Amino acid sequence: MTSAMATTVSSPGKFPQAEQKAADFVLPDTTGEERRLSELASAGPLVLLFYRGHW
Amino acid sequence: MAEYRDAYESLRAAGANLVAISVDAPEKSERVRREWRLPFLILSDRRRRVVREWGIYNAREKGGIAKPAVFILGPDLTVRFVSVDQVASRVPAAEILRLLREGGQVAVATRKSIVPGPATFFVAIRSAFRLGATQNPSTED
Repeated sequence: MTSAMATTVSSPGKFPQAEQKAADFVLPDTTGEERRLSELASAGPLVLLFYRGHW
Repeated sequence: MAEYRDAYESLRAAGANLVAISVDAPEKSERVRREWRLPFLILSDRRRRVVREWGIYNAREKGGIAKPAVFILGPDLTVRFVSVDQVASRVPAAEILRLLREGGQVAVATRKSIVPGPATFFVAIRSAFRLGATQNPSTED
């Protein structure tokens, strides 16, 4: 079965490497709406930018 | 962030989308988004769940924040490019744009910051996205 759950990866402390599949997740955007990574990426390449934040 | 904001239209024109993530609360990110006029989504990982799971958690600063990192993901979430930096800098937007533009080809590469040698930068070149984009994400329920 090659379906679903495209998750692999990530023992903590080890970021997803090239050619691995990243673990999907759901997080709220700034309006509180829940966004699923796999849906954001479904239309094409997704550039995912992690930043430090403005604390 | 400003650099990626300025590159946003070009990234879109190259067929890509851009999403940012930090550990800030959504309200705080919304203020940042408006202040900086950021045209892309900002996701809030307040519980540090994703940054931990993805191995880019910097526990030593500011109560725990994300390391500056850039991923390019294919439609099936395959990592096509990854760059994780230890401090404040990150891979330049122009570099990401160049990768996206290269005839639909993207370097499959891992960059770990701290002066990566150019030889280790590009591990392989693949026609990733054109192929990937035709794969339907049948992973939804």
